[in-house]
Amino acid sequence: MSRRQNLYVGRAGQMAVMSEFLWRGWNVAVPEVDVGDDIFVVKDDDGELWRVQVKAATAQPQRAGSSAQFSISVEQLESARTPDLVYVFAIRNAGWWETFVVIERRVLWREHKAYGVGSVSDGNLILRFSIQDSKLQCSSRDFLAYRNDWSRWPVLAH
Amino acid sequence: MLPIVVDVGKQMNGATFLLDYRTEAMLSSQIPGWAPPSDRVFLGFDKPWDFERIQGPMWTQIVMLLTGLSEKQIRDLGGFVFIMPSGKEDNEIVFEARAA
Repeated sequence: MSRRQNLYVGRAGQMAVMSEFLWRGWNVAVPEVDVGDDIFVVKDDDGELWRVQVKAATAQPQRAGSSAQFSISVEQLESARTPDLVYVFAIRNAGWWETFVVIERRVLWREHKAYGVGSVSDGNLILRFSIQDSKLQCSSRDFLAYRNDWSRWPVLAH
Repeated sequence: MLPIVVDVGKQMNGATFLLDYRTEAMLSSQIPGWAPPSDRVFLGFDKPWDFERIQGPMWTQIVMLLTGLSEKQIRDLGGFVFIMPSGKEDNEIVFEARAA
């Protein structure tokens, strides 16, 4: 896929994630300069803030199911901050945004360090998600609990 | 025995402290029913901040907040070490108090 195509897919995924936040009643903001955080998610009432990094990819068909690959910075992954970062991996499959893998930075870091999830290349962690029927795996680890897990952001009534 | 390991993330206005994944596993295996009382502690300040502001018993108090353990339990487990994860084998040690 060309670099330009990647930009379009990335931006589309970001918009899809922003759309979900807005639907749930959480406000969103995009930094003027992209230096790591893709979206700030804000609860209007009290200013509660979340930092969200969105990665998007189009799933590729496999012999069984499909898979999508992502790359994230190891430096960003290992750095604890307050508020901490949440990753959303948006996977486009069969014509729609089928799966959002929503996972906290610290949890993904633990998955990598303790269970060897992903592989490091050139300062980046390469993650390959496999989707088959009702399974979602990354490096043979079950990631189903993170699939469409928007529970941190309950639907707000305005 | 590995001491309690605390991961540190420093930022301009403070620092975030989290139990290292190895320590969570160690405490879960050694202390029946153990569960972390909090998954992070943040020391904040409204101006540029440095570790020098952490004085005397504060390091132990951070470990107590993260683990829910007493000073004696922490000592008996071998003390503690605060590190800055770097993705490499030798992480930068910010502070340590290992039991003799």
